Amino acid sequence: MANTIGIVGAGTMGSGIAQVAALAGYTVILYDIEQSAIEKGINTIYNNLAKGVEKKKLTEKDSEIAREQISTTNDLLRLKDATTVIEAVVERLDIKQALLQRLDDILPHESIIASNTSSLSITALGASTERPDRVIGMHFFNPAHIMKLVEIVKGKETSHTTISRITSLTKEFGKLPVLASDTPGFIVNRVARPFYGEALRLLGEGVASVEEIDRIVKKSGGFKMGPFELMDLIGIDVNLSVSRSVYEQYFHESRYRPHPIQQQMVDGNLLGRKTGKGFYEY
Amino acid sequence: MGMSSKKRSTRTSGKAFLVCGDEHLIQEYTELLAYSDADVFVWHERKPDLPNLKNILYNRALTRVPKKLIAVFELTNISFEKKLERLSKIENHCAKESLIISSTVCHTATGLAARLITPQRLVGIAALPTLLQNELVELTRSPLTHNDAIKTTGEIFFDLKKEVSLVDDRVGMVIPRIVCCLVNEATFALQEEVASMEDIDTAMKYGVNYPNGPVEWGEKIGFDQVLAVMDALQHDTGEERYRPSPLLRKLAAGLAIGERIWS
Repeated sequence: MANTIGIVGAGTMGSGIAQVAALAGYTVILYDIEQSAIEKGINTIYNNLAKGVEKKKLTEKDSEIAREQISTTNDLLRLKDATTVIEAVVERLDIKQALLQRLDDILPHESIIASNTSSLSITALGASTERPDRVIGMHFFNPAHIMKLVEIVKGKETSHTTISRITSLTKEFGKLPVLASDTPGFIVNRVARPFYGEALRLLGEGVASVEEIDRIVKKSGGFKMGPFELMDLIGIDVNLSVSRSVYEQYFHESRYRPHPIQQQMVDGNLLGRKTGKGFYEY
Repeated sequence: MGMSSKKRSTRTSGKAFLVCGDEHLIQEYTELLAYSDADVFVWHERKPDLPNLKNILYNRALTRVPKKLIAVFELTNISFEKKLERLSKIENHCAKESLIISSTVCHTATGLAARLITPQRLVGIAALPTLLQNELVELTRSPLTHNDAIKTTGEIFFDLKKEVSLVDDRVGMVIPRIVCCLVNEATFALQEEVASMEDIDTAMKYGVNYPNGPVEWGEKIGFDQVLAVMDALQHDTGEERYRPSPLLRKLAAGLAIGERIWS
């Protein structure tokens, strides 16, 4: 069982990570408390693998082996021999801390617990276990089976050995690791704030319209998507909650202050593509 | 835009542009304008590195520059003093029908217009190094700018195969403000040791598909230019939000363009 990876949470991120690990040749145990979530997660994985074969990114053989590598469970104890567990449960500190406490009891002493959190403190998660040196962030980007980047986040107590083991694992997954310290938003969600924040202010100040700002950002800045198109894709509510989280964790640093336009869009249920209307209509 | 087979005219074409301002911008604009069939007069204290083309003509002073020009590109962002001095000399030297297309990244067109004798010919442009690589340029105007001046500027860029977008007259305009704030944020992250500069660049290129990593983008633009934009935004809005990071100030003092000076 030396190469067993446990994944906790069979949602979008958990199932994507399970697929990546299985394709890299690891034995994967995918856990979720809900049987229905497991079924949905496995379905997503099988569909993505089939698409990979269709697009000739994978062979039929790769896909078959990957499917065989993944087993599922709703009994957390089944993860007891995993060398690494990656958790991708709901983004709430109390829930993740309770989960990490249980994993700490179940797992062998040397196993690493990695969290796919995008906004919570790895140091705070580590503090809920007796092994803060073996707790680390492994932040995948959605969709996890396609996006190359993984932010590896070192908590205050995370050891060098843990960092180097997870960096190697990320590379074996075929991903591109970057190392970030445990600060709000890590790298991407922090450094990207002005892209949305300034676009919203330009709109609010009447410098240019939604369409014109997107056009300028793409055609003069060389970005693939304009800020408003991108907010519509991400979900204006999701984007606001990331902004808010970084803003609050930095004790109201003015650079991260959300914009009233975001709140108004959320209040109006104009959340972007998913509700059919955001800054654009779909 | 293919250049090799294009017919290249000489001084006899009768059409001419004048380019002056920050050196890096002079180079980019001269190179672009030189591919049209006009003469490009470059006015600067010292000769910048320029392509070796017959229609590029360097001048230390304005005396030998024709008075009648299609347009003058006044591309100063960093020093307001020099900008005003250049604008005043241009106004004195160039015929009234010569357009003045001036960078309004750090100063509004309205603010500049108030200092000109002939403000009707002033058009603002988002001139920041690297932006000319792309297909669109942002323009702006003061309330005194003549509609024909905007129209002619649009035609000049159309001939250069660029689209234009007219935005409201605000410091930083659209893309310089967004990009410089991204670069500034990356230097804050770097200063706080959130990650190495290579990892910050990798994260933004692969995590959110940015065309450049923000640190390498800052180097290409020139940290001195980024600092000038942030200082101007902070001064214009009075908001702490736009304060440059102490590291950005240090990087700007190094005046590094296109090379790594900090690791």
